[in-house]
Amino acid sequence: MHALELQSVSVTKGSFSLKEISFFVNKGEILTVLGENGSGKTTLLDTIAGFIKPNSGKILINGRNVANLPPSERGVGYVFQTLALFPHMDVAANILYGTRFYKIPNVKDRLEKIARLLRIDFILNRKINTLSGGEKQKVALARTLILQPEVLLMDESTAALSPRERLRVIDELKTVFKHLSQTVIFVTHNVSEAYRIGSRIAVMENGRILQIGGSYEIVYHPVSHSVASIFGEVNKFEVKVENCNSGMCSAALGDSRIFFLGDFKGGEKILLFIRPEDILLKTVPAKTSARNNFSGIVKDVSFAGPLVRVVVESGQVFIVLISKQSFEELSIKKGKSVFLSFKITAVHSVRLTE
Amino acid sequence: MHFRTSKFIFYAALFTAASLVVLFILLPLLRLITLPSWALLLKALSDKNTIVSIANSLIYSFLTAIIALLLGVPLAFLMAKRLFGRFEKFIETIIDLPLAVPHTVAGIALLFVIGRRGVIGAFFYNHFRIKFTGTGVAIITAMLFVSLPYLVDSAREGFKDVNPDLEKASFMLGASQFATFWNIFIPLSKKHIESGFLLTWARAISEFGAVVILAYYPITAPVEIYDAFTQYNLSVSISVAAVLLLICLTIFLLLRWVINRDARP
Repeated sequence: MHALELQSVSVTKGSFSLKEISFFVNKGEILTVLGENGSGKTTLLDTIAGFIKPNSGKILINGRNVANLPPSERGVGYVFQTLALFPHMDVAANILYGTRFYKIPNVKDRLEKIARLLRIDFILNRKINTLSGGEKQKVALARTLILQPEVLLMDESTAALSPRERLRVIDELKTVFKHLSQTVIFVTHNVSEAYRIGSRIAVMENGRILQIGGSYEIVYHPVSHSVASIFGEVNKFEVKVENCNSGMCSAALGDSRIFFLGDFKGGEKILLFIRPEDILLKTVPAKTSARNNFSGIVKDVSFAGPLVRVVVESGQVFIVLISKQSFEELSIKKGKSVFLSFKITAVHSVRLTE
Repeated sequence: MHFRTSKFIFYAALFTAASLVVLFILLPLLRLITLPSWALLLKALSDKNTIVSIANSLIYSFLTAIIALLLGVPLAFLMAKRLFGRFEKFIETIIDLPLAVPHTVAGIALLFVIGRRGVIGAFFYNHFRIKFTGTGVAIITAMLFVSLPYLVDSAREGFKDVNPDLEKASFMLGASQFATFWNIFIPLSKKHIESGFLLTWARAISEFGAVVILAYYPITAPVEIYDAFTQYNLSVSISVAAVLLLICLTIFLLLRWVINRDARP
């Protein structure tokens, strides 16, 4: 039995809808839901919490269908994007708010324990508007955790923090969740946050879950272009399979031929992805074991954070990310002839269904 | 013309207009407070009629504000939560209607409801020989009709300002609808409700037009002022007016204090 399971849940909210959402979360597991703004992440959480009634489907919490129960009877905790702390109460009153509506023994003990765990025991008498972003985050969490929810929903609640504070808070949250073996659904649109949590990731778009898997699986075996591009720019080629032989396939690409792994029929149209950082760029033909080799002309060079983004025209346009060091050593500039190589395993193939 | 000179003339003109407005309001009020001598004021205040009229005004207007609070807050909450659906604009217009109706017109309209021949008044008169006109009930009815919008509008704005996530959070934490209303909405809209209460009270105290039509007696301060004035008893008129002005100013200053109380760091 899973801590939480959704069975083909469909929801309509105005012109937006969630379509046949199914997934599960194990007890003590953190599931990250990753998607752009407007992909339906908050609608999904509101549905699990009970603010939106699904048109169809089941929401099981430890095997109990809660789809028709009010929010307070589902055993779900919810930390909102705005945190929704009560501004007219101090920290302790905020944390204790829910305890007066349930019969909870030893409320004082629980408050002490949760405050110590989150390291907010020294700010219990403070007013909400005197707290830092990280402290507010923890108070909102403590207020929810004190009721010991079976499933905790977190809606981009670290969004208001500075990038550096955010990753620090996430590390702390992870430790706390592990300590409590808390089941969590953690919603974010931030890829580095999703990586940092390091759990299974569900990629959402347009009210659908496109793929669920570990971060490695999602980065290296994306099921569609949408999923592939969530982790940044990606080379995408639509090709026609020439033939496949015991898992090894080839297709014409530009003036050359590309090799990849897969199990397709000859003539089948498919999509290929190659991550820009998986392509090796040299000024002389590479002496590597890589099966895929292309030559071309540099069309554009720009900085992309700590890396350099190079656009290479080779019958097809390739985008390549190289380190600043190789950029300087190879003195890459517009018009220069370059050679590209990448391994068979760097090419990810998907049947064209979109 | 030089830019700085033209700027100076522009702002000088605006400040002159502004000073005129401030003086226009302040001058008559200051004049009224300083006009009656202490002896005259004390004499007026020792007059039973004056005392009764001021007491009536204070008590009935306060009761009005309390009733407005009890009836207006639930209405304001429903409006803020947009629970009237497509009737929302209609309800909003109705609530603010008394602000646009001349008060004597409101008085006449109310007369045909609670008067002896009014739709409600007739029933009570014919069955129980109860007459509303010329009683405190009539005064409160008149005051309530013209002052209720202030409380409703103010409380509604207060409820609207509450972040909807706070309500969701309260539900998630197990609170019922009523517990959420009582523990979240009321405290967070307290300032708006308080200022709405004071505005309603002040408006009710100053009401003359509707009150005088429904109840000349029991006499209220504005009616007493008018009464003395028409009987060429200007000194009584002045004294009552001055006292009433001081009371209204006190309420007004209280209102300012309530509004600014938490704004200061």
